[in-house]
Order: sequence, then C-alpha cells, then structure tokens
Amino acid sequence: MALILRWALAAVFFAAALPKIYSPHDFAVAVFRYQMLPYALVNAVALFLPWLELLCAIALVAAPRWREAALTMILGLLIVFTAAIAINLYRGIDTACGCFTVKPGARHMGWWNLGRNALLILAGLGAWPHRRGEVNGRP
Amino acid sequence: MAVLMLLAALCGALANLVHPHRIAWREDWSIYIEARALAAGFPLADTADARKIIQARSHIIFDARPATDFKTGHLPGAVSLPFDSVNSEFQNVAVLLLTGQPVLTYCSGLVCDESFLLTRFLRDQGFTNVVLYSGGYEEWTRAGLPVEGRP
Repeated sequence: MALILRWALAAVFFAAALPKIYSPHDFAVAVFRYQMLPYALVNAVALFLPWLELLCAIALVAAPRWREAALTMILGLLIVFTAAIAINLYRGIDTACGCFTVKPGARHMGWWNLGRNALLILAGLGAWPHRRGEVNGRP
Repeated sequence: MAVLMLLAALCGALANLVHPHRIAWREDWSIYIEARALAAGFPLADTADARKIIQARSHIIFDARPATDFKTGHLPGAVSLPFDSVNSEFQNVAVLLLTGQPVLTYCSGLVCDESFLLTRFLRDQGFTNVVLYSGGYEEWTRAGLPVEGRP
C-alpha cells in the first residue's frame, strides 16, 4: 500500500511541476496573486518551487536513499500549500490555485482544494515507510 | 532535505538561463496593474471571471486601449473608451449609463495602466460597481477565447 501511495504522490507532484516549469512567468503571476510574499521574492519562488516538486517526485520513487527526505519535503510543501489556500479563502482573495495548471482562465480555488490537499497529506502519511528496512528501499 | 532544496535552486537557476521564456530573477511586481488595483482597493476580475461576465452580459465592457488597438480585435461586446481621450469620449457613452451599472474595464495586459486609470476615472464620476480585468486582451487571447473585430 505504501508503495502505491508513493507512486501516486510522485505522479501528482510530477504533474504539478511540469506546467510551472514550462511557463515560469504564468506561475510567477499565480504566486503573485496569492499576495503572500514580498514582491522581490515572487520570481525566485516561482523558479525554485516547481523544481523542488519535480525532484521530490523523482526521489520518492527512484532514489531510495532520499525517499524519506523527499516524503518529509512533500508533506511540508502540502502543509504550506494548504495553509496558503486556507488563508486566502479566509481573506476572500479569489484567484486560481496555480496547483496543476497556470493557464489564464483556470478554475478558482475553493474549499474543495483544502479537501484534496487533506487527502494528499493522508496519502503522504500512509506512504511513510513504517518498517526500518523500507527506508532504504528494501521491502 | 537540504540537498534536495539546493538541487532545486540550482536546477531552477540553470533552467531559467536557457528557458525560451525566461523571467527576471527579481521583478518589481508593484508596477503590475493588479498590484496597483489591489493597493487602491479596486475589485479585480481574472480571465475566468471576465468570461462569466461576458457570457452573462451583466456588465458594460470598456476597452481602455487606444482606438487603433480596439480596431485590431477586442473582447466580445466591448465598447471602446480609450483612456487617452476619455474626457471627450466619455460624454458620448455617459448618457447610456447609470452610476450603479456594473462595468468591466480592461487594457492590453498585465502591465498596461489605461484600465486602472479608467477605473479610477469612472469611480470619480460616481460609478460604484467597476471591476478591472487585470489580464486584459493579452490573457484573454492566450486563453484561446473568442474576440471580435479582428480584421
């Protein structure tokens, strides 16, 4: 089960990273629209974050030595993303999530985004290698 | 984890060096029309909102770009009200408007300022329901949405 969850999480993060890497300006606009970062950091975050998602996805399934670190990072990212969405919904900032697409006209975020992220966090916890041997890739 | 973060920073930097649509490392986002509108407290619409508004025909849509740009294509149902000649042009459309009427303004894209200035002008004229579509014509066309008036 943990193996399936790891592959599913890796697929989700891989799919989330690619459009952002392909269109850095559009992703920077999405980051800017969250109105959470100082303007000077918007582009740096837009360049850094998708690659972190991509590398975590790859490490999760292809680098057993880094699996635990990747999973920790993915859980950390999910918690940060969920908090950012929740804060903006609370503040009434009505913008697109910028999670899986950064195209203009993308669907606005809503409370369902929080539900989806909660499921992903649960998947991350379920993907955790419980047995000592699993940490380094042994079943 | 630190290695993953370091690698991500390195990959992001290298990719941006060779990316065909590379972005500045640091950008003054305060010049973007959206930041100015947020600072001024103007309601904003994005492309999804603008699409709904146009489909619902619920707002008067003002194209704040120069008239020559309007003639090369504009959002469906938009009326040309170029900010550069707003003092003379507004008299022509003002008689058709009520101050509570919902209005949507736009210009060419994220960094133009005519729609911001037009929104401010309309609010000064007493219009209370003016929404600014910050993505403008550029984001509308990039989303593959229909336009009118293309030659």
